[in-house]
Amino acid sequence: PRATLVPMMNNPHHPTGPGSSAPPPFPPGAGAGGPHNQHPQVGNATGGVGGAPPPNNDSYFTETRKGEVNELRTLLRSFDKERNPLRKREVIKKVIAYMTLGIDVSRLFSDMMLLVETRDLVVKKMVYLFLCNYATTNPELAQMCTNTLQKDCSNEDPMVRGFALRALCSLQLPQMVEYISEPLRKSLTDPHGYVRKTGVMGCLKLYHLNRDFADSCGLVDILYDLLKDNDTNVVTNCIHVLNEIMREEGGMRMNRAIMLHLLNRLHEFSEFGVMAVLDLVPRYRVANSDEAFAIMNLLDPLLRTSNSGVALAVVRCFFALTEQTGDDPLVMQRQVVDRVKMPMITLTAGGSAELVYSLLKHVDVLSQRFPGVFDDEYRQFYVRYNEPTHIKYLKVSILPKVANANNAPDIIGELSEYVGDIDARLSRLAVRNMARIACSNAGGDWGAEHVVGKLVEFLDLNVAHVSAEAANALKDVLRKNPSLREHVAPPLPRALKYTTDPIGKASIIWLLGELSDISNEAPYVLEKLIDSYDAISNASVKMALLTATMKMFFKRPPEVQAMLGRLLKYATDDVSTQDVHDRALYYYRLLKASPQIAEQILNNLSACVAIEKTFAEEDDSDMHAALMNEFNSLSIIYGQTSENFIDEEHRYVPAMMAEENVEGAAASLLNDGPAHAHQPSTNFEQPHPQPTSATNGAAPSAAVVDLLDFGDSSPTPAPIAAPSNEGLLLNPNASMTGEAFQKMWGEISSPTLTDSFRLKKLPNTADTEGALGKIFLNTMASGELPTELKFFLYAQESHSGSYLLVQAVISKSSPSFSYIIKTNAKDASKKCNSLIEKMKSALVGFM
Amino acid sequence: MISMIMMLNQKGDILISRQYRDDVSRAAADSFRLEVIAAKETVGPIKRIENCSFLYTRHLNMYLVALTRSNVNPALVFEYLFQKIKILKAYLGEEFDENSMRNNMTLIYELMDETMDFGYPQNCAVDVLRLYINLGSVKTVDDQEPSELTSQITGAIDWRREGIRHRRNEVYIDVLESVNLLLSSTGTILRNEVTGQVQMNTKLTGMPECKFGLNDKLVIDRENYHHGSRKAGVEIDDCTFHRCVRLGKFDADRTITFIPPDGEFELMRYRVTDNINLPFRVIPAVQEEGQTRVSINLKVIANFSDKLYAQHVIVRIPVPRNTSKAKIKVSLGRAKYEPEQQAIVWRVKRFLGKAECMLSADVDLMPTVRKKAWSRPPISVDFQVPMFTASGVIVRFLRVYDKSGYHANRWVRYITRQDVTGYQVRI
Repeated sequence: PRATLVPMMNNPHHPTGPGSSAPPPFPPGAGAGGPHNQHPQVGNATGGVGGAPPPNNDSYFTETRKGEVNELRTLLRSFDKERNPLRKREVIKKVIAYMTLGIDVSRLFSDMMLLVETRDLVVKKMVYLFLCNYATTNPELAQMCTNTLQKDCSNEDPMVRGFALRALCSLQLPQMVEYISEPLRKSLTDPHGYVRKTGVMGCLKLYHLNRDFADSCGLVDILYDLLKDNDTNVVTNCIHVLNEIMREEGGMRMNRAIMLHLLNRLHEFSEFGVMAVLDLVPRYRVANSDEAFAIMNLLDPLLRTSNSGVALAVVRCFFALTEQTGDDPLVMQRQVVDRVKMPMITLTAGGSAELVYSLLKHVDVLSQRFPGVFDDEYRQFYVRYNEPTHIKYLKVSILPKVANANNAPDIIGELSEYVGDIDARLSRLAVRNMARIACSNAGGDWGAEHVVGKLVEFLDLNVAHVSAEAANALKDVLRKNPSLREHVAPPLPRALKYTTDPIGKASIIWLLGELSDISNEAPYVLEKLIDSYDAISNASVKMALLTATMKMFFKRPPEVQAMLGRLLKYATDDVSTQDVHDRALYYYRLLKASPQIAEQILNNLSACVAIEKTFAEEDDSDMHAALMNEFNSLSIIYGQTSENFIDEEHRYVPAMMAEENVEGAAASLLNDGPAHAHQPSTNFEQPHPQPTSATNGAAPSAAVVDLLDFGDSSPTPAPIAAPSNEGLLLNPNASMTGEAFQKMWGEISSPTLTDSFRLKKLPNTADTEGALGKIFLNTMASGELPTELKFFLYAQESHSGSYLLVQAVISKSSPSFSYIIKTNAKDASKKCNSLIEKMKSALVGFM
Repeated sequence: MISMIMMLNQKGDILISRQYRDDVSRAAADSFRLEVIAAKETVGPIKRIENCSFLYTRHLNMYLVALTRSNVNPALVFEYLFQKIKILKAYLGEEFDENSMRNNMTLIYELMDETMDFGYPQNCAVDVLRLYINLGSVKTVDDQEPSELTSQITGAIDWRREGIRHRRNEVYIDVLESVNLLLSSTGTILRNEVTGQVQMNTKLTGMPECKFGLNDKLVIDRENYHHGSRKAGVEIDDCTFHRCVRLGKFDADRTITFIPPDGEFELMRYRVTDNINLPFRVIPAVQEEGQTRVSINLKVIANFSDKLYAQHVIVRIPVPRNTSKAKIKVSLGRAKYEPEQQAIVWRVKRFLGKAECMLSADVDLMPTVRKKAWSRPPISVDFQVPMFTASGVIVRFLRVYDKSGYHANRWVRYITRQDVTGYQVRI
């Protein structure tokens, strides 16, 4: 990424053009001029380094001068002699400041490069920034500093390793790929999460730099491995990177094991990470509808976060999952909207204008797709006087969509309050949306009549824009509902006088034409207009006048004949607009040919729209259906599907996960996964009840076709657990509620067995649970305390159905696994012993 | 993903910009200036210019803009931008401006690099960033244990760092409620709702586990059932929480447990629509007597306990535009006709609970050329009532558990005021 040169915007009075090439407005070196002192001095003085003349203006942002860049070079060259680290920083800061302004300081590249060898982390970072900005302009020179960068990539400080790696990958020099790949590969196995997460992003940068090379490195496999990293930030980045690398195939390929693993760890992710995981859920193909519901239950609590990004992502997941439940998706989705309605409204009630705007856009689409759901919350869409205008407009346009027979009076009343607003656009919108209530007949007959009454009032209000809009609205209402025409006729002649807006005027003329049989004055009002035909400048008004006069002619021929003749003459002579001329000629010939046919055409061309039909503009249900697939994206904001506004190379069509063959046992096992995850560990009073619940987080991979080696990292081969079952056969589908566990634990007063064994390596919670899950010793609850890991485990004997309960503690200081087993099974001690054998074999990787 | 983040001043000059992808250029700032900053019509917070979407928010008079060419999740982008502003505030002060931005440019570049990589948000927690980005001091991170440091950068609890110490352990809880009301002229309630916020300021040592309880009806009812007591709870319609709250636990048994961030944060937000105690009753009688006079009689009753009082009560009674003068009598406070507001403004500094105050006014109107009916806008009341909640919500407990077992002092404040939507009575 190279900073292109742009004219300096900093000082509009100096149109000096592209930075350094412009003639300096002051002679070089005269930088101490008065106008530069507007920025207060910061920190230590910048100048005075290495005997250079001290520039006594401390502002970084003065006009560009060749002299100053040269001066910087002098400063940089004397850098070694400078001992004060703060002053060193100031010099580099100045270079960066110039860069920010868009001044070309690439001439300093070689000097800056020399500075990369420093122990000062801040200086280092600034130099990296500079390098990344100008590397493309000096590729050869940039290549020379790769050595330092590579060295930094194996620095002992993980932060330095991370920064260096990020810089190295961001240089964007195609010839550098070989230098990148080695440090990159090393970083992915770095012991520190910070380096790993930077490395993961580096993979994507490499991919963009040279796709074939990245493919040949086999990065994708490593990234899939990293999906089960302990550090959720690494996992989040992995998701992003894989999604982008496989964009053309519809996003990251996934399987059930990956999805469930991610969902089970959801609570460990940061909010941005949660959004990344939730983005995958709509593409997940559930095993059966129970699983879909289990996932929804798992996600449900997230609707309460105050982060609207997360909440909306959950809504999207719900929509996608309900499509797979097998029930009628529209019915199910309506229930979903019912569920998410309150959280969405609470989020709009508080929160910043920007978020409220995007939430309301979503509500707007939902209220059209699922009419009636938001109706009872209509008051939430009342406009507040101090809201930003774009939110006001949005709310006003939502109101008619939530109107029904019960709330229509309130909504109409509220909308008519806005008509008097100072903001003309708001008052126009209010009028238009009142008409929409009448057109959709949402408020019933009463509502439509009431709206017409109000609109007629507005027509008479003598405020130009309101009358015009009201006339236009009335036209539409009458087309839908001609029975209301009696109410409209009386004020029309008056309104015509003070409406100046051409659309309003045309609408009134149209109405006069339609209603000429009940409006006595109509011909005389139009006659005035006809006689001042030359004064009409707008074509649409002329057209409306022509048609209206024609219609009137058939209703009241004696009065109108003369004026129609005059009008046709004026209009056929009118050369200003072709359309008017042609239409007049057409009418003239039509009348000449056969007045009967003319009447038929004009009166049959009744523009009425049946009440059960809608106007074409409002019938966009296909559109809404399409938009629902792109819920929670810019598509909803723009009201267009993404192919309309996203360039080809950025377009992304998410594809569903491939079908998976699931064995019956695995399927039922899996269904327990999220359900357990949802089962809170409230029954255990732990100071840190982190409800980890990855009962089956890793276990399923044993049963599922393990494409990506996505099993547990512990090297326990599954077969070991299987044959060692003499005396104890455990039920793979065992399940137990927390209450039952607690009750049983309490009932068995003395533990059957208490002992411990040492571990060599400290396992983490998920690994332990995964390993024990493989021998069908399931986790009820687990938690991490500062000094120890604690687990409550249970297993069920297959043939007797009796339970074995285990409380296990892994001490962190001296890794050891101590356990208490309680059971009510017969032959208790023998069974306990074989359970211990099983546990040991499962945890063999840590012993 | 995001292609570029820019900060612009009011003139549209780039103060700082960080390009993450090369599908946009700095020249985009020009289109933004022309189509958003200089636009005549107000533009929403999302603007598309030639298939490049600009999502922006403002801080003081600066624009923070995210540019993207892909179909992003707008809420995510805004959450990121807000987080960004929060981080800048933490580093540069609440009211950071153009100058402080310019003077700390390298710091901001560092923050831009840390919070976003190649267009994807990374670590945005201020507390954690502070651990390793501290340009202000010469001290470099070398002094700290790298391993400890990175474990926190990547820890699951990213809103609080370990090892916080306070000499005195204290928690301040503020329950802020806003009531909105719209009464029709006949006295029926058209709209009435309370939105509440629970703000906390925690100064606690270590990683304390907190448990917070309101008199939530669902919890109280359950307790009543178990203990046979009869207490009343408040029916909370809906609520949202800060991300530190364990949501699963709330959904299971409605207990609010969390490890709080250090310092100020908003714990929760809730809405209540039923059984609201209106702090004020307003009984107006406004009569237009012919064309030249309006008589107004108004009674305001404070509906809360007489041990409490309301502050800064302002009642605005609209009068017609052509008012010439008004003779006003009040039983408390001061009232006068303020032509610029087209209203009689009645101010009472301290309004005791259960008190009844009267205002009567005779308004003389000037004759007008054109006859136009007066639109009779609603009367509005502004107020603040300390130690009172309109919803009836009270904080029942806040328990702090830490392994060192210290005692924490807890302070609770309540305040109820009118909502931005207004506390209005139509006449």
